[in-house]
Amino acid sequence: MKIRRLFLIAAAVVLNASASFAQATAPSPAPSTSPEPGETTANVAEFTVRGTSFTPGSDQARFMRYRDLRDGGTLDLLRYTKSTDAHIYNVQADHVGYRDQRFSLSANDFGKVKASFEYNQIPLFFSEDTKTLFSPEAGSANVLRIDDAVQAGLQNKTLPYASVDALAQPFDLRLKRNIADFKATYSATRAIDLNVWLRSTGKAGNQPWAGTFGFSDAVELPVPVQTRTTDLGLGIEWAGGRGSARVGYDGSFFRNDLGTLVWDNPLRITDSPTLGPLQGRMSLWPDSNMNAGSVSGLLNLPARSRVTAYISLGNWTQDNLLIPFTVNSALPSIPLDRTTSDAQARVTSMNYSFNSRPTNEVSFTARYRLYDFDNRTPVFHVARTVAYDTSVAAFPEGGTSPYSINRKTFDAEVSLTPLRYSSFRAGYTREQIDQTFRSFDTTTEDTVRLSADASGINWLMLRAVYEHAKRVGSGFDQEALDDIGEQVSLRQFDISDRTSNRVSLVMQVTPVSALAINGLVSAGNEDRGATVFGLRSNDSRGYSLGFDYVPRPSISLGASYEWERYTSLQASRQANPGPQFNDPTRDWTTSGADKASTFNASMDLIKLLRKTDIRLSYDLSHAESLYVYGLAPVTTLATPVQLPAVVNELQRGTVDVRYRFTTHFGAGFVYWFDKYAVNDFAQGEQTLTTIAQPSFLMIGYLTRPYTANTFSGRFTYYW
Amino acid sequence: MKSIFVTALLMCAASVSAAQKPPAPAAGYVGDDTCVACHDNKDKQLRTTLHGKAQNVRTPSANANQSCETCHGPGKEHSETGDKAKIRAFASMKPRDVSEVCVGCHNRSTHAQWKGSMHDARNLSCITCHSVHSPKAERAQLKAASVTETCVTCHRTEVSKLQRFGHMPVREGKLECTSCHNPHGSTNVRMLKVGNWVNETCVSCHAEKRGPYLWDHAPVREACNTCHDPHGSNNERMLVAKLPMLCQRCHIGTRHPSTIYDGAQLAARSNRIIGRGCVNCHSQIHGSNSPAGNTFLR
Repeated sequence: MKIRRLFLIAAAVVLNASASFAQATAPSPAPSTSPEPGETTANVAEFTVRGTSFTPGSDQARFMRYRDLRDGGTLDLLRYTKSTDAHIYNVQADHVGYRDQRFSLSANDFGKVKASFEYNQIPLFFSEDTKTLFSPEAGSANVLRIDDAVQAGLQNKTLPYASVDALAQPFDLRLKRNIADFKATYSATRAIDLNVWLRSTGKAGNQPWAGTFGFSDAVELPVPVQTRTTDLGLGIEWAGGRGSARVGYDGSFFRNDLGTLVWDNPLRITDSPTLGPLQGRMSLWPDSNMNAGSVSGLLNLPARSRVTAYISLGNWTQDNLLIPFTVNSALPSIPLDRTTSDAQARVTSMNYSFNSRPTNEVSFTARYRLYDFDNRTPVFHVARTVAYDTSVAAFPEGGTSPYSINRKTFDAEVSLTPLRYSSFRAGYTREQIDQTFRSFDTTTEDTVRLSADASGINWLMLRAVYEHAKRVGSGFDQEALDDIGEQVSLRQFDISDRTSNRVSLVMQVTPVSALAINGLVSAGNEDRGATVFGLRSNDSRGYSLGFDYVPRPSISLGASYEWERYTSLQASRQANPGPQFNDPTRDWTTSGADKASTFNASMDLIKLLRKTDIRLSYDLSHAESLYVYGLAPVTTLATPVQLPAVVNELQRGTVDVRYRFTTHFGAGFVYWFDKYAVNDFAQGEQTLTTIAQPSFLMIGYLTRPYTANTFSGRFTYYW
Repeated sequence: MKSIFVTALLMCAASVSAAQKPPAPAAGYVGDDTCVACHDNKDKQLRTTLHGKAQNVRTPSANANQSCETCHGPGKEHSETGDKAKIRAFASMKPRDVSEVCVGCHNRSTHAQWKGSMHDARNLSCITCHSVHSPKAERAQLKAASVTETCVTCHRTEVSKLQRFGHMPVREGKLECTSCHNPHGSTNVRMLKVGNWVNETCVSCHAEKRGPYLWDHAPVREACNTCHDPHGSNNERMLVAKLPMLCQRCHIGTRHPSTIYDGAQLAARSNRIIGRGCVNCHSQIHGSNSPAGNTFLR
């Protein structure tokens, strides 16, 4: 009923905007003649030759994680624009011939058609020193096999497990996205635009993945990825003095060429009903569709007021064939409740707002938002399941839990601008979330916020905000925790009762026009007083200080330093079913502390030396994460051995010199120093010295340091 | 319900009635020639931007001989007296008055939600980030050289996170703040550009995680940022805490989720703390479509 009412309001607004459309459309005035006919040029082609030297042991893949920085030459940058009074054409290219190349074309026939096309590649280079016993079966990229002799040797214990490291084949672990993106806008009239966009994203390569056959037989895998997502958008939009209206369609279609993954069990060459299977099988990302239609309207009202409405109705579907419970031929076959997933969700989103500025000093906004994720997937009944392709087990929960979420948000705020440069805002938000299959049926969060802003003053910019929020859950369902074997006093942190406060102050002072000093102070805390087990608190502190100094147009320099700290406290109980489960002497806590320091400095000398631009920069990011375990005052647990801190430090320095010989020709060089230091107890080479870890056959995907010195020379042509 | 419907109809009627009023006649305009006599450089700058392309009937330049006064207002008094207070000088106007002028034309598409948006509420105006006459960026007429340099003015903490170990390819130039956010306001939360909820923005690129799955993982369905910090973190995959500690915030039940994975477990190379932690086994943590995927192992 409520949804129907909201629909009616939306329809009224949209209809109103449409009615106004007919009256506001007016003949277009004749375009004036530009005083400067002809072309403007801002075209550049830059050719570079690059070479990088690494210190021994450097992780070159980490250095090139989202880029392709191999040695060699390239057309590094092309920018060509042809512009007249009637149209503009633009051609761009970046890093041509490499895995991170990008090309784009755009055209704008002013006032008529605007279109662009971009082809962009984004590589993800995980590792160059990974190795594995697995290799794809001929003709089946999603079937990963181990040499039968190795499996047999391990099963029969004639081959020492530790020796498999030497048998593994090295490979590069990498992924790449290829994105083709087309967008066009046709301006049918002064008031009406037609929009279309089409994007096709292909993803190919391998990524770290895992398959397991039990607690003591986990396997890390280079899962093959061959997917394509096609996104399509269409819209027609009218905008005039009275308001605007838009009708749109968005579709997204995900397709996976490899719907399943089959991989060998390194420890077995035969299926067994008790000792495990010879192989495992899992479903990979299923094909899915998303279709959504939306209507929106905006209506300008008197007293600088306006009302907006937006409705989107979406349908998400996923109906892939289901694989059997297990690939282990030695286990009994369990019938499927149905043969396809038949997963579907109706997604309804509405957004209504009213904004008014009745006087120059007062602005008021009220919004109502609804987001309803109505999961209509029928429960898939499961009486017995198969764990790890190894054993059949009863499934007391009885079936799947198709989570639905309904969010209703009301927000109102008033902004006062008593002086030209100042603004004070007070706001209130109430968000109610109804959800299914969770320990709380409903969570409600009330938030009040205050902010003060000073902007537009030549010497001062100040922005301060304070926010206080309280979230309370209702309809607690103890069974939801009991069913999954959790302590009933656990509170899952995404829905637990919470009181939070957040304050931040951003300031920039410009005592003289050449100097600007900026600073930031922020603090936040989250207290979850009702939580016995789970995340109890989550706090943050931070500050920053920096300056920019431009003593003359040819010299500019700046530096900034920022420090942040995030702390958390979570509680647990190390217990098995039985007497341990309610034994408070088995309680323990984890105190987390994440600290980060960021320093940046730069200096630009633009034409300080004749025809020469020099840019220097240095960046440092140092982060440490420490997790400290604590025990109850009276404990029966062994004293924990504390973990070392995880440290990541990235340093970058660049010297970039450009010299312009003539109007058309320039040259230059770049020196780039890049150093990454890491100490990660879980993924570092100090821990993972072999892929044959106890109970875990890995692929050697590590976090390793690197130090790179890159020199690149450039030749630039301007026209 | 009736009352709401009646109110909506009344709004309709009021709007139609307002729309029928003729526009106020323009007065006090002097034309571009007069403006250019003193502000020649501003005019030249304008001509190099899209605002200066008269072919587009929606640009200020399309208003014959009134390209300056379309935005700056009638200039007669100003030109006669030289009084700077007699013309719209944006730098000295209230931010909302500035925006009022801009959204007079920029009233559609990505700009439609500006009024009442977070940035509007914080007293930012269009010229806080954009320059009509002397932009520095390659596109969008930004005052700073890039989107990130623009946003860092206020959002330093978020930009600093881009330098962390786990990060999106922003510092590599493959994404920028506006890849996910619409700074002009949106119908989504957090000024997200695409979709109607956080997850819809994320799955617009990570469509493989969209589902719905046979076995959904509740916090994943709730919000991706329950576990990930999209701006970057000290942990792999931009997780807000390291594994297994992050998972142990919700999973403390029997057996292995409730175990202290300490230095002794590390020394024993437990497969629940080395490598990628819990997802060494629970690889389908975003959801599983296998009938046996209830614990996201298949």
